[in-house]
Amino acid sequence: MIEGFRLGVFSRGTTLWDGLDFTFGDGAAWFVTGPPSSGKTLLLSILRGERRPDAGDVVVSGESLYRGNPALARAWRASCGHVPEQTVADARLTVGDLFRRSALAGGGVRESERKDRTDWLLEMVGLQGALEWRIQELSISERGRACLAAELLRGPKVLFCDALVAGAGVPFWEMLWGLFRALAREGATVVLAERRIPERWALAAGDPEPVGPFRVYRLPPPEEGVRGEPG
Amino acid sequence: MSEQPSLWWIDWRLSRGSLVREAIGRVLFFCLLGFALLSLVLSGGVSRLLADRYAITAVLRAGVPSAEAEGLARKVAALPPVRTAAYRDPEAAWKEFLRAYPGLDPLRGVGGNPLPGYIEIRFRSDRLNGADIDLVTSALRSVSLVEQVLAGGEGLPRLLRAGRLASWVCWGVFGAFLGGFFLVGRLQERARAGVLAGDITFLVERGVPAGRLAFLRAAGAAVSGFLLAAAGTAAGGGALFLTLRTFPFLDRVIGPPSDLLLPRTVAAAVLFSLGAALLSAGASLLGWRAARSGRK
Amino acid sequence: MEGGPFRPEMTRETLRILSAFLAAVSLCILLPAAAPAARDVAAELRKERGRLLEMKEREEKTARELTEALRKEKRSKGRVGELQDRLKRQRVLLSSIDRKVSVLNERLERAEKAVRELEAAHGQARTGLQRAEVAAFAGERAGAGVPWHPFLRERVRHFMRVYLAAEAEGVARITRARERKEEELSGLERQVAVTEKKRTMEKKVGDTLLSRQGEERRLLADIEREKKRKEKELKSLRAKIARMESVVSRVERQVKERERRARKGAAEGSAAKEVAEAPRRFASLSGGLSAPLAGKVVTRFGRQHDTTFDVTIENRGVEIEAPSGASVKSVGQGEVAFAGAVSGFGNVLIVQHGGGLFSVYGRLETFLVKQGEAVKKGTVVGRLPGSPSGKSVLYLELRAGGTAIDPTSAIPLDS
Repeated sequence: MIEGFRLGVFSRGTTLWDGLDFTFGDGAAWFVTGPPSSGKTLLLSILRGERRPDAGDVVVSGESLYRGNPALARAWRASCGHVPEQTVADARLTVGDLFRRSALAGGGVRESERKDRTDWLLEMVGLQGALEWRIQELSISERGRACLAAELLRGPKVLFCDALVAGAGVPFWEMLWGLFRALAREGATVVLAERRIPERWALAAGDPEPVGPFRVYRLPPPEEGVRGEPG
Repeated sequence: MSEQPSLWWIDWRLSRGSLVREAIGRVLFFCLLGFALLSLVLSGGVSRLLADRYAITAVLRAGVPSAEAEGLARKVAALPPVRTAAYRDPEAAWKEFLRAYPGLDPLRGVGGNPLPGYIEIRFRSDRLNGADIDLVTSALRSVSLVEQVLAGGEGLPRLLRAGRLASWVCWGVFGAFLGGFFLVGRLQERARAGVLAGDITFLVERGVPAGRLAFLRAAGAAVSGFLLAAAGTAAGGGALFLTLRTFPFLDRVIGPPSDLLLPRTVAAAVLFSLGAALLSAGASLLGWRAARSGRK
Repeated sequence: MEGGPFRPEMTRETLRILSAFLAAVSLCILLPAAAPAARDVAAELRKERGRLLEMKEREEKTARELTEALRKEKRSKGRVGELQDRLKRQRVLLSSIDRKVSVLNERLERAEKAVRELEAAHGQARTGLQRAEVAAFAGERAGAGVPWHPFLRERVRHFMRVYLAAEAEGVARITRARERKEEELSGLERQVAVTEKKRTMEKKVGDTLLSRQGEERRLLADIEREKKRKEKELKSLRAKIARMESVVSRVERQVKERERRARKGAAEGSAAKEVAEAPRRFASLSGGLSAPLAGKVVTRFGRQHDTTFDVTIENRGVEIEAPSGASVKSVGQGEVAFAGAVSGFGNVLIVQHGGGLFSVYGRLETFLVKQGEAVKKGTVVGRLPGSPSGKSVLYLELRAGGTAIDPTSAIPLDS
């Protein structure tokens, strides 16, 4: 469980938000929506343990992320996956480099295992055979999906995605919907930060919880079914 | 939480091509530097050249028997700073004199040979300094058989200073090249760190400690630096060996090829490799810092 | 007339003359009243005596001249001998000078040869040194020794300095030797010149000695001739004197005989003459005798050996030294029998004391009494002459019966 207590952020000379409390339970996919420049990416970086909040704390499984042992914070970050809104387009990087990099971060992933899983993951996200493609040549949707696949190589416990759904495009919402629910079923936690939630997903999630400038939706796990979706 | 990632040779894993190119460049560079280093170690800068050209002449008194003069030469040769001490009799002195002044040959018969015998003393290249020269000259001057000691006079201090200066210049140039290697290495490391910045950031975001990354990168640079320097120095040493065999006149300036296998020469090469390792590690750390601070 | 020691020949002859004179005077005094025959004899006697006196004076003069000639001869012989020795030494000296000149000339020749050889060697050495210096300069310009080994160049430069020093030392050595030889040569030349000059001088001296010797020999020859002449003259004079004395003696015998006859006749009946017979000894003379003056006897009576002439002379009287100008007194009472000059004795005063006693005072300067004047003991009869030394000599003779007696035996004289 990820809990944020009385979180506050001071950015660009102004208080962005303050006193927000969040709770993201395990085994679920959470959707955080907010208007542009509301601090969604900041929120994800705070929840990942990358950026210290100006107020409040984040507690993960009862351990403070910012006031506790720094090693635990590093371990938390190592267990998280992160798909950023924009991937730095290094001219030399290929899709394979993303997987190699992810494998380094993950450690313990053998080369042969990595190769098998890489092909499968790429196929899953609709990028089969794209291992040698340069990142620079990929579209935003393809980059986002490639990053997602690379992150999934490590089997993260928590996956943070920033504007992935919007970036991936409507054709891939179905895939992503199924993927997130599958991850939730496996006990992983997915936290998505988007401007807006697809309508179908909003219907399935029900009413959001307002937290500051954000709306937090909880996507139901597969065993709960989806509201409005035929059994 | 995922298990501790293995970050050894991370650069090799992340960026092999540039690393190979850098390694080749460094080997060639170390080859040249190794050649220069071994030349300097063998020659002592310009010490060997100076020692080859410098000689003290102990002019003997007239009428000294050859046996006594040779005995004195043997005693002088036993002095620690002395490489060779050879006695030349008056007839040899006269021949040498005539070679320098050929116009005097017809005048020989007028008064006979007025020149006395002498002892020519040459120093070891590593003992050619003011104190050792003074030691030998004062020892010679105290001997009654010796009339005069020619040790270079006022030109000697200038020569020694010039020799020291030349040696310093040689070592300075070498050091400058080494410093240049360090700077270039730092830039390369910084560039690589910059190139790998995304990867590094990715890994740091994924909980990999930045310090550990830096340390392991530096360690890897040190090991690769040592190995590359050792390989380059060995190659340079081999090139020097072949050069000295091919051009024997360089013996007087640099030294004999056999000196390359002396323990002190090998020790110098090992020390150089260790130094290169340290420099590589330092360049890696500084490059990492520069890349990270630039990123920030 | 000066006093002093007698010359032997003159003394004997003078005494003889004086004795004869006194005898003559005695005869004249003792026999004043001789007969005309006696006067003729006396006149003859006087005449002969005068001639005798004259001859004796001549003899004395001749004897003096002879003595003088002998003295001159001796001196001249001495000089000749001395000149002979000197000439001998001179010849030896000249001979040694000649040898020395010969030796010096040989050394001079050798020195000249050595100087020539040294000059040649010096020239060679200097040429060698100059060539060496040129070679050194050329060598320096060309960069002597191995150019890239400056310390070897230092050695050959040192050798060049040694070589040049040796050459320069050689030149200096030859120069010094040459200078020493030239100095030696100059010294020898000076020595030769000095020796030649000395030789010339000694030769002149020798010539002078020779001429002087010739002159002395000539002078000696003259003196010898003079001496022979004087000897001959003296011999002749003595012979004449001897003959004259024989005549005088004969006349004196005649006078004595007459006198004896006269005395014998007077004693038989004529008035006593005022002249009483004097006692025959001075000791019994009336009134006694006194010293004629205060003085010291410097010449005694009798045989005396003259050490100067190594002869033995017979003094008939004594000589008494007294202050110059001293007064001479009569030793006893009597009558002045004679006052006049006598050769060899100067002014002589004879006092007759009677009985054949006479006192003779010689070398007086002045007479204070006249002949025939009666004098008493102590009467001043004359004065001694002046003398630069302040001393003069009185000759005193006492005669009794024609025989001289020692005056000191009769008169207290200070001897």
